[in-house]
Amino acid sequence: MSIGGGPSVSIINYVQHYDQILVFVNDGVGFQRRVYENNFLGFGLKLDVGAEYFVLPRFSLNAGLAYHLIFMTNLLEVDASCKTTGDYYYSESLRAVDAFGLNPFQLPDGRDLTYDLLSANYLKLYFGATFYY
Amino acid sequence: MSFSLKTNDPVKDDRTYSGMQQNLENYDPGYASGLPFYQNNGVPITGYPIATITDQEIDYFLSQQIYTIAPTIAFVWQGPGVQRVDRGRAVG
Repeated sequence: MSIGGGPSVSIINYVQHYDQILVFVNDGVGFQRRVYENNFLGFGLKLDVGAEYFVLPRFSLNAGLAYHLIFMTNLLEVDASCKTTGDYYYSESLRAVDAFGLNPFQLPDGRDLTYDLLSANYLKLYFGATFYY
Repeated sequence: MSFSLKTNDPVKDDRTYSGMQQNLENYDPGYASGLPFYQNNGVPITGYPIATITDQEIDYFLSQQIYTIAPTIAFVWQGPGVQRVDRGRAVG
């Protein structure tokens, strides 16, 4: 049986998927798939409770429960990139010109895509097997 | 979500957006207006193809990936199993 914990550093990667967004293509209009990414940095704590059982002298099975408490920050420069076009938006004032000014830093419902948009805390149940040699 | 787009007069730039996501409603016309509609010398392109798209559905979803590194220190209780051997002899 073990119980432990420690500090953690995390990168949170938000990925927005737009299917069939309207874009300019040359002097016409067409549709494209756009995937925008934003990255944020987080610091946190990890708590871990685990159990290990030796089914053989050098072979054990283990299972555990880990809780990650992550506090997001805006320490990273707020930027965005588009995986489908390769465009990079290094400032929150930038827009996708060819997609009618689509804002990569905003959700469709109008909310800003900020570092604390979604909770990053999570509980993890894990299983494993270990062979000692 | 859905929106409609009407681009039938490049000079007047009367594109209309209805029912569109707020994101696109907030767009700055300065970014898009005229860009593909005018030549470099400022003369409007004539014969611009009419594009009228109504209620186009856009599938949108937001996903989150977390990459974490967490060095951990743990207290371990080894259980009764290791206590059954005493100086090489089986106990009990």
